[in-house]
Amino acid sequence: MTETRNQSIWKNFIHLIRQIRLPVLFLASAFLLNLGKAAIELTIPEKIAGLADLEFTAVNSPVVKTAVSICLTLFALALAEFVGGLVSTYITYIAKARIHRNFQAAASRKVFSLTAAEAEARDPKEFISRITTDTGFVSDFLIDLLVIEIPRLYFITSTLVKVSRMGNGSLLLGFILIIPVIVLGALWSGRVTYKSQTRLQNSIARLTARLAEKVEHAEIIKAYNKTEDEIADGDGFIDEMKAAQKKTTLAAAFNQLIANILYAVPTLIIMTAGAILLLGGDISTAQFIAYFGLGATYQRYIADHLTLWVLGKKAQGATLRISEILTLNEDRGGEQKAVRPADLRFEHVSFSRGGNKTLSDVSFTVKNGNKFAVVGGSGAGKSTLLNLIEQFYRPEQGRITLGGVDISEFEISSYRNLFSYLPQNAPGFDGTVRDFLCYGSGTLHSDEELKKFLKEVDMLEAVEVNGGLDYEVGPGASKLSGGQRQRLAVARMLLAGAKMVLADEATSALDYEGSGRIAALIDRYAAGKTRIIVAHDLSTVQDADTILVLNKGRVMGCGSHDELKNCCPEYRRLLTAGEGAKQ
Amino acid sequence: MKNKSSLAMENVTVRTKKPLRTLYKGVKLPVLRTLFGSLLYLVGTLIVASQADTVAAISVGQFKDFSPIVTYALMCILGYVFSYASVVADLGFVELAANIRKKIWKKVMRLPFSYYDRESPNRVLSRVTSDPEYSYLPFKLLQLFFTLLAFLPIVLAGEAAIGELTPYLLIGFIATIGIMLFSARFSERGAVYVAGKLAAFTAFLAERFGRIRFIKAMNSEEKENAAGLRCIEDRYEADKYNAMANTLVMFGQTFLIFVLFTVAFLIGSMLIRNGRVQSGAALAAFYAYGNNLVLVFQFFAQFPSVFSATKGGSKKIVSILEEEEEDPDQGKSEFTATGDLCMDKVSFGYNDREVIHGISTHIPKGKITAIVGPNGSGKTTVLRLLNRLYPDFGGNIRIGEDGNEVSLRAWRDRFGVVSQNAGLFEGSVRDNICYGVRDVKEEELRAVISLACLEDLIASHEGGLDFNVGFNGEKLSGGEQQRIAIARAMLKNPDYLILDEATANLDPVTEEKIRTGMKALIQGRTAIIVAHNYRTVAEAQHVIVMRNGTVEDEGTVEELKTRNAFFKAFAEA
Repeated sequence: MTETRNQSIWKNFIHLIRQIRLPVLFLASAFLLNLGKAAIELTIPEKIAGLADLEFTAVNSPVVKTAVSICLTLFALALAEFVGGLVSTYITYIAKARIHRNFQAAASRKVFSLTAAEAEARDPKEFISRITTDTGFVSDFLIDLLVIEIPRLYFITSTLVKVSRMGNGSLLLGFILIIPVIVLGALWSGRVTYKSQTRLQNSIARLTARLAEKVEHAEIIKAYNKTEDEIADGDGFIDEMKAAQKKTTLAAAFNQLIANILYAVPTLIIMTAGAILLLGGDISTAQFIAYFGLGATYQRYIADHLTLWVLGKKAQGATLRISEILTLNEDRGGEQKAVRPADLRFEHVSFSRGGNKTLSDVSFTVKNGNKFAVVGGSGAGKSTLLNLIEQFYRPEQGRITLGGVDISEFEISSYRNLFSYLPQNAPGFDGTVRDFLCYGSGTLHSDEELKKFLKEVDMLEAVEVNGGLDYEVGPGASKLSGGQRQRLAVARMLLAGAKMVLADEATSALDYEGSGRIAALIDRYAAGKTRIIVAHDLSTVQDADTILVLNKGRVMGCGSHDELKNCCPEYRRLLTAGEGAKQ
Repeated sequence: MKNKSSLAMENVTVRTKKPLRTLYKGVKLPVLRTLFGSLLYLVGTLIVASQADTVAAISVGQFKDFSPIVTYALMCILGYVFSYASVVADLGFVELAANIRKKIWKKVMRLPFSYYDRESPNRVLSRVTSDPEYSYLPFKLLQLFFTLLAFLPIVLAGEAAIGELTPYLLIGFIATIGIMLFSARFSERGAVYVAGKLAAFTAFLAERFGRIRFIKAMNSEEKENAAGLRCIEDRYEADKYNAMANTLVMFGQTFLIFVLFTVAFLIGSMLIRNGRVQSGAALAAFYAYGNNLVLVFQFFAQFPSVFSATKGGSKKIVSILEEEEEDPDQGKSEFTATGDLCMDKVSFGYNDREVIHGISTHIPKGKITAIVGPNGSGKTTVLRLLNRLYPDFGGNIRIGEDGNEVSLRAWRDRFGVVSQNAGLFEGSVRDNICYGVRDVKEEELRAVISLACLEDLIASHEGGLDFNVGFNGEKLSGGEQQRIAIARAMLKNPDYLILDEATANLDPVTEEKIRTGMKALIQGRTAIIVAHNYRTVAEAQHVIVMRNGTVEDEGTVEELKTRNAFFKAFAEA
């Protein structure tokens, strides 16, 4: 069972690596340098042992020459290790950065190409941590595995072979005995550090949240003359944080104590094992020196090897999470690229979301070039209808056709290019007013053109007061009011000039007058084009060629204003409710 | 020894003399604890360092029995225990950070409101929460200096040390500290660089992923993907910088070992040639001895990061401590005058840019005055001038004869504010209503609750008046928050009332709900209103139209409707 799970994780991991290009040259160079470093570290203790064996009294004896040459060799080895180590460090960092970049690019591309249904089924934060954090875990592990682990194993096994060749089992036993001690040390310090850090993080978060509230409400505090009380209040929170910090400090110091002792124990084990044999005359002094020298490096390599295990644990979870995203559906559509405005038909379309049937057996036709309105109370299924037309979702039953062709057969971006969409709440991104207006149209418009349309939506003055087209609208265009965003969104739609218009409550944030003016503007610019308009305010769509009345996902009526007024009770109900709201 | 430590202190204080005085003034400093802790730390380090000779002897096999190993084991543990006990000093540092934090918090709260306009709340907060962490670092630095100075003689006194080689080793080690200081600057910059790019990328993704449908509708997936790749590429550039910085740090760390090899074997080989060293074992022992010192020396690896953090952190704190505070009690505290609220040639600006240009106007007593005008015309600024949230203006704002000479506390006590953001605090409904008023009588509270139509709110939330509203009142709806803000203003019972877009964030149904409460609040007071919707403004008896920081026109609603173009458009929109 675990076997198969492990296999599938490795399969996922390999599949993941296949998604990106690896910086092979960097990885190979770093690998070779690390191998060289391990080889040098294996040699040094033996050389020192050789040197320690020499005694020389005469200045020019051959022994002096040998000693000097050993010394120079040791210096050369150290120089090579020092320089090689730096080069390998740099190359490894660069390789890791590249791998991380490539993973991030692959993951981010995937998320942008998901279908709306897949993308919206998850918290955006989840995608962000997959792209930024999890890719980092996988890269760290990959680098450690490819570049460092094999040189490390080479050193460890070579050391064990060398020690066993010294001809005594208890030396080898000493080397093997220290492994559990090092594991224990690593586990201990990892856990304690993590726990105390989490506690401190939480207390800082609490303090920050409480003080943030006060800083944000400075106006109220001053207006109510409460400064001194708030100072005392804040002091209380600061004391709370101080208590947590003291606990953390104590825990960290204690942790350090245990870690230090656990670090000293393996050294003592190696020392003692060697000493027993040396004092018993079983090994020579030179052998002891080489053995002891190898022991120190060996200890470090074993501890480093554990980091691979820790990295592996993190990468394991990350791999599964990223792989899951890679299996999600992409937004592609069909093959047919030629797409022209034509009659749009819903044929017995049903759709449900979260267990609720939002559309049941809906059929209607939007004649090419008509103004087509969709009305109904909240939860009637109006927005769902537009989402299906835009192919954010697919019908569960029935089909939607454009000029007789099922819309799923069209290539998705050519199909969407057909529509100008005015979404609810008129979203926009961080950037200038100019960016907002040009978004999605693919072309840059001249300032005159932009200003002309700003004037059309009565926004020219407001924009110019704030610094013109380069005014920064803030993240999510939050510096603009809802009404201003809606006006700009209409200007953006008119600038893009597509062939069919889809508008979802495009003027909900505007008052009665403004909403009427904008509706008239759209009609003027889009005359002759198909307009599908979802409206809560019936007065702006009474002149529509056809009005579709929805209630709880069912069609209650479809016809002109006059027809519906006479024969659709639901329409009459909506009409009177609307009149009431206006008064 | 004493001389050396005072020398070290001078080194630190000369560098940042005035800032440190500003930082520590009026704060209890943990001097004794630092000294005691440092002493323990020093003893611990010295015990471990003193084993360099023993280790050297052991590692070249020069021992007759197990006693050196036992000694080494015991001394190591003893050394570690002493180092652990030095936590006394660290606890003192925590105490100091908390005291500095309180000092800054007091300062932050007493700063004039204009400071909050200038600095983002996050920046202000980090001055209180994270920056004081650095405030104890001068002490930490002192501790390290002290230990370093005591540590050096040990190096010279070692038996395994070869007299001619040791000075080279010392010079090399001290040079390494220099390299570490140098590289710490880069690694710090690198960390900030990467964090900045990561934050930008995260913000980008957060904005995009929240609006995926919109992006699809605009056929902009490719464009957004390309923008995402640019963020990733930026991050990669930051990572490359960081790779360089980390390699530099690595340089410092491995340089210690390289120095040891150079001294022990390169310079050592010369000594062999000259006949000054006559045994290979002596060099091997020297090498082992040096190795142990390297371990101890790595204690000082924290030195550079402590050093650079000290410079940056305290600078930021000091800059806020040097800001001017506002004194709410300066000026006349007797202030009972009533009458029209008058602005005489009032002008005001931020950072040299004047935004209000010599306004003179009257706000009639007991009436509702509305201020209207396009965005950026200065409406909110005028409101903040009226309750002297911005006290540094030119001209005079007065009631009767009392104006600028009245103390801020006395002046603000006469004003109530309800703004777009209700401004509730974490705590009970009761605490929020009673905010700013002491010794509230139960019947007063009941009366206000009833006038602000809060009975249903109190009945429907668990705990009633004791219901905790959450941070920023987040557990209540916008309308509920606003009703509490109204009750709060009512309880304060001000003569003058400022309503800044008090109902702007509410939907029409909710707005209707709080209308009754709002009417009760305004009843019998002088009210100044800024509102977006005409219906609210239409109820005013006096209207001031602003444009570009001046008063363009004023009069009744009817008068302005006929003669003021802006107001006409506003009324008809």
